[in-house]
Amino acid sequence: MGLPRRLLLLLLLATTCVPASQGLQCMQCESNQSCLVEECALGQDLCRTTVLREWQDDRELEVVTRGCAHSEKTNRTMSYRMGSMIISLTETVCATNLCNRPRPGARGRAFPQGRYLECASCTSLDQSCERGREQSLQCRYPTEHCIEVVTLQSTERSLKDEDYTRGCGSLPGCPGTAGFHSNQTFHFLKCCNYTHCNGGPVLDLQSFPPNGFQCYSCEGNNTLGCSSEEASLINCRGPMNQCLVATGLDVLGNRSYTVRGCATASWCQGSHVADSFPTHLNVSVSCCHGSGCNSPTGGAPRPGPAQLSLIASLLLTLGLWGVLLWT
Amino acid sequence: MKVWLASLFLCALVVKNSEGGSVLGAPDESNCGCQNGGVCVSYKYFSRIRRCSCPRKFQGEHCEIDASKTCYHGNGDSYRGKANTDTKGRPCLAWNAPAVLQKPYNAHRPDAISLGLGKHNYCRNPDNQKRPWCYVQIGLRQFVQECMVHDCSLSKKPSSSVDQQGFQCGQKALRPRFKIVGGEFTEVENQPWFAAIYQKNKGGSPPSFKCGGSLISPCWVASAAHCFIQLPKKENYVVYLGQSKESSYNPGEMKFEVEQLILHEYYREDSLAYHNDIALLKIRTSTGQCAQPSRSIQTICLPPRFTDAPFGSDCEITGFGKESESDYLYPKNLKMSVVKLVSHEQCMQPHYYGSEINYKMLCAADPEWKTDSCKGDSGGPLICNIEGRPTLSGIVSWGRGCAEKNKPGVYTRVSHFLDWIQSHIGEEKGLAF
Repeated sequence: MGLPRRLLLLLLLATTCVPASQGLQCMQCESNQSCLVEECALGQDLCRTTVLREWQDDRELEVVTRGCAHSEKTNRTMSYRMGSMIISLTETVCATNLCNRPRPGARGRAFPQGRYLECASCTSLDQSCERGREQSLQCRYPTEHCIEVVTLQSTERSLKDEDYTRGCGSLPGCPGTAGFHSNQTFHFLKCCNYTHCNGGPVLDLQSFPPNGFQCYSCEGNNTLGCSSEEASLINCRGPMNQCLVATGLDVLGNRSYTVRGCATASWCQGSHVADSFPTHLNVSVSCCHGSGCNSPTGGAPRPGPAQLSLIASLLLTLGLWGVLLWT
Repeated sequence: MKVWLASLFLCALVVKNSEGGSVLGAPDESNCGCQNGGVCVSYKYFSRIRRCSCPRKFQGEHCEIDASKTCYHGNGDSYRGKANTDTKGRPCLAWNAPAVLQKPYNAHRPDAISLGLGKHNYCRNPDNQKRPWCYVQIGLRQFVQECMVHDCSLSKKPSSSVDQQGFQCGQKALRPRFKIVGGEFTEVENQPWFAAIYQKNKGGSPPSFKCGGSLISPCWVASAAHCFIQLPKKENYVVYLGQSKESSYNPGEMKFEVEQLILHEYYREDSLAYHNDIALLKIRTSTGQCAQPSRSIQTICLPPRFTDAPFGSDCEITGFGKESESDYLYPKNLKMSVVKLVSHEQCMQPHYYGSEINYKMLCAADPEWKTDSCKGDSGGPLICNIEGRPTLSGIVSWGRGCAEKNKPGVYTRVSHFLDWIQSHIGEEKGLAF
């Protein structure tokens, strides 16, 4: 007779447990259209829909992925030419549960013959940027600018971002410029709004003169790659006159990764750093203006992995206590 | 007390499950699933979207579509071409069309990629029927229909569209030598793109060596127009690949008839110089095949358009030609030498060749004037490394004497003739840039 009552209590408690750990929920879809409901991790407060389209001669290809996104993600677009192909990417974000679910009947529209800004376009995949073989591309949206995206990294990565891409786009920081460099990495975004303003020779770090500032440079974690012995002072170049420290945790939350280097003020704001850390969550960024001010030993200490684990434990404990008290 | 512990356990399970969700996402980071040599590209400003950048003639989300395939082998289960109508000419439905998604074979099957199904309406044979098929809308229903695409083995005429599969332009079985001085005998494995072109003789006597050439794609050999201008009929010539010794049998050699002989329409002879001195020979075995890759047969890369190695670079020349102008008998062995590119500025000096030189030519010489291409080397390759790849930069064309001081060898500048080559060969025939 006591058993049914206990079972009922267990069920009630199980139901009560669920809300305590509930965050934002988003659709998570890979390109093959298999979708699941995903519980977003801490620091991911948005749902996103990312669409890639290719147009070439008579063919069109569309790839859609959906998932959670970090809270600084914004709507954005980018298009560029590669040979006779036009490649277009769009990303949209929203902030309510399952707001990024596919809507039946939603149809991708054909590439419009835009009458907006006209930009130079090229890509490293066919070396057209490096060889000065730019083509012309008309932008699709009035909000788009001419863009140049530079991603140069000396470390080998399993995924390859194109070194240089030019075309049309609306990206964080547009209009304007944003950049970051360390010993191993050079990111730059140039965003302008007159015809073919993104033409000319490709940008490389050496084309920017030293600006007189020095910052510490390293990539890795606090024991390997970014320890106080391994961080080296480098000369900053061009508009990158701020010293940056960025730290993120990987998806499991138990491995930190740190980047130090020189950055523009605009790189420190907005989502550039989080965008450059695609496999890391809770990216925290700080910048300072003074030579060597991003030293691994100087300045305010960052929370280390142990401290972050402690914080996580406290949150869990509070959650549990809340449940217990509630019951 | 038991109840509290049980609830604690349940909460722990909930937390663990949500962590598990994150873990499942992680392995996906490293895989695009690109096929056929496609390059996986990511975009830092766009989350978790990746695309395959396909090599020439491949298309599709994973480069799984082979646009050059116009017929199928066997029952067509490996056919990945673009035929998209049934035998009555009715259009196929896309494998991801809503009506097809209800059928057993559709683009959303877990094994769709390996079966060739995707966001397209091209014919496939995912279930081992006797030939490629697709779904066709007839009235309100969809039916399986065989496709309008033919069996390769039933082709009436020999197919000359051999794809580049198996060829890796510029690759050698032997480790490359360097700094060969004065010219040394070499094996063809060191120059596996070298083609020996013979002129047939009347009355049944064996053909005599005419010129060298270079295999630039499985079906095409590049050579010099001046070799053929006296006798411009394809029937007069036969081509051998894989030869180290002239006019004798070499294991690994292949013999080809000339199916097509194309001389540059603006070929011209001056008192000394040849202009636009380039020819293309389409080759075919007696059984209708193009070249097959082997240890002694390989294609050579073509240069990027209007791009050459810097002047002063070391380049290789190969041929069966004379060692000096006064030699009566041609040696029978393939020879290879290293020469340096000479700048146009230098080559146009009055005591060099003056105004005979133009920018569609390249000059190359041994700095000590001890080695050079010579008669009998015409049409053969000048190979320079460009972007780390052996590249056909020049075709042996003309020169005054052989290894004469201040008289470099002059070569047709291949990087300035790519549009002409492409206009005759076409991109779909597997040119290796």
